[in-house]
Amino acid sequence: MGELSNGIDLIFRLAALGIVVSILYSYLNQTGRKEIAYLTLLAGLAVAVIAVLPIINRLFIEVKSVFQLY
Amino acid sequence: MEIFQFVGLALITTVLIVTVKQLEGMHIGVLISVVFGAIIFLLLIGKIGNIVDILEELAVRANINQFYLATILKVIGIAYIAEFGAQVCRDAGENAVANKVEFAGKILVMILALPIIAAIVETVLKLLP
Repeated sequence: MGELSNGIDLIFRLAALGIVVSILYSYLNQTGRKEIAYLTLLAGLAVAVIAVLPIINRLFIEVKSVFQLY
Repeated sequence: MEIFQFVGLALITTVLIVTVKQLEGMHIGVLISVVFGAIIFLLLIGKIGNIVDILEELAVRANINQFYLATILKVIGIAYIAEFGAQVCRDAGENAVANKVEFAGKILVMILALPIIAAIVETVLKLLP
Protein backbone atom coordinates (compact mmCIF):
# COMPACT_ATOMS: atom_id res chain seq x y z
CA MET A 1 0.00 0.00 0.00
CA GLY A 2 1.34 3.41 -0.94
CA GLU A 3 -0.15 5.21 2.03
CA LEU A 4 1.25 2.72 4.49
CA SER A 5 4.85 2.98 3.23
CA ASN A 6 4.50 6.78 3.20
CA GLY A 7 3.37 6.79 6.83
CA ILE A 8 6.05 4.36 8.00
CA ASP A 9 8.56 6.60 6.25
CA LEU A 10 7.38 9.54 8.32
CA ILE A 11 7.63 7.53 11.55
CA PHE A 12 11.19 6.45 10.74
CA ARG A 13 12.17 9.98 9.79
CA LEU A 14 10.79 11.33 13.08
CA ALA A 15 12.63 8.67 15.09
CA ALA A 16 15.90 9.40 13.28
CA LEU A 17 15.41 13.12 13.84
CA GLY A 18 14.81 12.54 17.55
CA ILE A 19 17.92 10.38 17.93
CA VAL A 20 20.17 12.80 16.01
CA VAL A 21 18.88 15.86 17.84
CA SER A 22 19.24 14.28 21.26
CA ILE A 23 22.81 13.18 20.47
CA LEU A 24 23.62 16.73 19.33
CA TYR A 25 21.94 18.06 22.46
CA SER A 26 23.96 15.95 24.85
CA TYR A 27 27.20 16.70 22.96
CA LEU A 28 26.60 20.45 23.06
CA ASN A 29 25.59 20.19 26.70
CA GLN A 30 28.78 18.35 27.59
CA THR A 31 30.92 20.97 25.88
CA GLY A 32 29.20 23.69 27.88
CA ARG A 33 27.19 25.42 25.12
CA LYS A 34 23.85 25.27 26.84
CA GLU A 35 22.03 27.91 24.79
CA ILE A 36 22.99 26.37 21.45
CA ALA A 37 21.94 22.96 22.78
CA TYR A 38 18.53 24.29 23.73
CA LEU A 39 18.12 26.01 20.38
CA THR A 40 18.98 22.75 18.61
CA LEU A 41 16.29 21.01 20.60
CA LEU A 42 13.76 23.69 19.72
CA ALA A 43 14.64 23.59 16.03
CA GLY A 44 14.31 19.79 15.96
CA LEU A 45 10.91 19.98 17.61
CA ALA A 46 9.76 22.64 15.12
CA VAL A 47 10.88 20.52 12.16
CA ALA A 48 9.05 17.51 13.62
CA VAL A 49 5.84 19.49 14.14
CA ILE A 50 5.96 20.84 10.59
CA ALA A 51 6.42 17.30 9.28
CA VAL A 52 3.47 16.03 11.32
CA LEU A 53 1.01 18.81 10.45
CA PRO A 54 0.04 17.65 6.91
CA ILE A 55 -0.90 14.15 8.07
CA ILE A 56 -3.08 15.53 10.88
CA ASN A 57 -4.70 17.85 8.37
CA ARG A 58 -5.43 14.89 6.13
CA LEU A 59 -6.87 12.94 9.06
CA PHE A 60 -9.26 15.79 9.88
CA ILE A 61 -10.32 16.20 6.25
CA GLU A 62 -11.01 12.48 5.88
CA VAL A 63 -12.99 12.32 9.12
CA LYS A 64 -14.99 15.34 7.99
CA SER A 65 -15.84 13.83 4.64
CA VAL A 66 -16.69 10.35 5.93
CA PHE A 67 -18.85 11.43 8.86
CA GLN A 68 -20.36 14.39 6.96
CA LEU A 69 -19.17 16.97 9.47
CA TYR A 70 -19.48 20.29 7.76
CA MET B 1 -4.31 -10.48 6.21
CA GLU B 2 -4.05 -6.80 7.00
CA ILE B 3 -4.07 -7.30 10.74
CA PHE B 4 -0.46 -8.48 10.51
CA GLN B 5 0.45 -5.17 8.84
CA PHE B 6 -1.15 -3.21 11.65
CA VAL B 7 0.43 -5.27 14.41
CA GLY B 8 3.84 -5.10 12.76
CA LEU B 9 3.54 -1.35 12.34
CA ALA B 10 2.46 -1.05 15.98
CA LEU B 11 5.44 -3.10 17.21
CA ILE B 12 7.94 -1.07 15.18
CA THR B 13 6.37 2.19 16.35
CA THR B 14 6.44 1.06 19.98
CA VAL B 15 10.12 0.17 19.80
CA LEU B 16 10.93 3.52 18.16
CA ILE B 17 8.93 5.51 20.72
CA VAL B 18 10.54 3.70 23.65
CA THR B 19 14.00 4.28 22.14
CA VAL B 20 13.37 7.97 21.52
CA LYS B 21 11.85 8.47 24.96
CA GLN B 22 14.92 6.94 26.62
CA LEU B 23 17.09 9.65 25.10
CA GLU B 24 17.21 12.89 26.98
CA GLY B 25 15.54 16.17 26.22
CA MET B 26 13.49 15.41 23.14
CA HIS B 27 9.72 15.05 23.33
CA ILE B 28 9.25 13.68 19.84
CA GLY B 29 7.72 10.41 21.06
CA VAL B 30 4.33 12.09 21.34
CA LEU B 31 4.54 13.22 17.72
CA ILE B 32 5.43 9.71 16.59
CA SER B 33 2.40 8.29 18.35
CA VAL B 34 0.21 10.99 16.77
CA VAL B 35 1.48 10.02 13.32
CA PHE B 36 0.86 6.37 14.11
CA GLY B 37 -2.73 7.05 15.13
CA ALA B 38 -3.34 9.10 12.00
CA ILE B 39 -1.87 6.42 9.74
CA ILE B 40 -3.96 3.68 11.29
CA PHE B 41 -7.12 5.72 10.77
CA LEU B 42 -6.18 6.69 7.21
CA LEU B 43 -5.64 3.02 6.37
CA LEU B 44 -9.03 2.11 7.82
CA ILE B 45 -10.95 5.02 6.35
CA GLY B 46 -11.93 3.18 3.18
CA LYS B 47 -13.51 0.36 5.14
CA ILE B 48 -15.26 2.81 7.46
CA GLY B 49 -16.65 4.51 4.36
CA ASN B 50 -18.01 1.17 3.15
CA ILE B 51 -19.71 0.58 6.51
CA VAL B 52 -21.27 4.05 6.39
CA ASP B 53 -22.52 3.45 2.85
CA ILE B 54 -24.19 0.19 3.88
CA LEU B 55 -25.76 1.86 6.92
CA GLU B 56 -27.16 4.60 4.70
CA GLU B 57 -28.60 2.06 2.29
CA LEU B 58 -30.25 0.19 5.17
CA ALA B 59 -31.67 3.44 6.51
CA VAL B 60 -33.14 4.30 3.12
CA ARG B 61 -34.68 0.85 2.87
CA ALA B 62 -36.14 1.09 6.37
CA ASN B 63 -37.63 4.51 5.58
CA ILE B 64 -35.77 6.17 8.42
CA ASN B 65 -35.40 9.93 8.26
CA GLN B 66 -32.01 10.80 6.73
CA PHE B 67 -31.60 13.54 9.30
CA TYR B 68 -31.28 11.02 12.12
CA LEU B 69 -28.60 8.97 10.41
CA ALA B 70 -26.62 12.08 9.52
CA THR B 71 -26.79 13.16 13.16
CA ILE B 72 -25.57 9.78 14.35
CA LEU B 73 -22.67 9.87 11.89
CA LYS B 74 -21.72 13.36 13.02
CA VAL B 75 -21.79 12.24 16.65
CA ILE B 76 -19.51 9.32 15.83
CA GLY B 77 -17.09 11.61 14.01
CA ILE B 78 -16.97 14.15 16.83
CA ALA B 79 -16.51 11.40 19.40
CA TYR B 80 -13.66 9.88 17.40
CA ILE B 81 -11.79 13.15 16.92
CA ALA B 82 -12.28 14.19 20.56
CA GLU B 83 -11.06 10.79 21.75
CA PHE B 84 -8.02 11.03 19.48
CA GLY B 85 -7.07 14.46 20.78
CA ALA B 86 -7.70 13.57 24.40
CA GLN B 87 -5.65 10.39 24.11
CA VAL B 88 -2.70 12.32 22.69
CA CYS B 89 -2.89 14.85 25.53
CA ARG B 90 -3.11 12.06 28.09
CA ASP B 91 -0.11 10.30 26.54
CA ALA B 92 1.89 13.49 27.02
CA GLY B 93 0.85 13.59 30.68
CA GLU B 94 -1.58 16.52 30.38
CA ASN B 95 -4.68 15.09 32.00
CA ALA B 96 -6.29 18.48 32.52
CA VAL B 97 -6.14 19.39 28.84
CA ALA B 98 -7.44 15.95 27.88
CA ASN B 99 -10.42 16.40 30.20
CA LYS B 100 -11.21 19.76 28.61
CA VAL B 101 -11.11 18.24 25.13
CA GLU B 102 -13.51 15.51 26.22
CA PHE B 103 -15.79 18.11 27.80
CA ALA B 104 -15.89 20.07 24.55
CA GLY B 105 -16.71 16.89 22.65
CA LYS B 106 -19.56 16.07 25.03
CA ILE B 107 -21.06 19.54 24.69
CA LEU B 108 -20.88 19.43 20.88
CA VAL B 109 -22.51 15.99 20.83
CA MET B 110 -25.24 17.27 23.14
CA ILE B 111 -25.95 20.17 20.78
CA LEU B 112 -26.24 17.77 17.85
CA ALA B 113 -28.54 15.47 19.80
CA LEU B 114 -30.91 18.17 21.07
CA PRO B 115 -33.21 18.21 17.98
CA ILE B 116 -33.73 14.45 18.30
CA ILE B 117 -34.46 14.75 22.01
CA ALA B 118 -36.93 17.52 21.23
CA ALA B 119 -38.62 15.32 18.61
CA ILE B 120 -38.96 12.49 21.14
CA VAL B 121 -40.46 14.83 23.73
CA GLU B 122 -42.91 16.18 21.15
CA THR B 123 -43.98 12.67 20.19
CA VAL B 124 -44.51 11.75 23.83
CA LEU B 125 -46.56 14.91 24.38
CA LYS B 126 -48.71 14.05 21.35
CA LEU B 127 -49.35 10.57 22.73
CA LEU B 128 -50.46 11.99 26.06
CA PRO B 129 -54.15 12.85 26.17
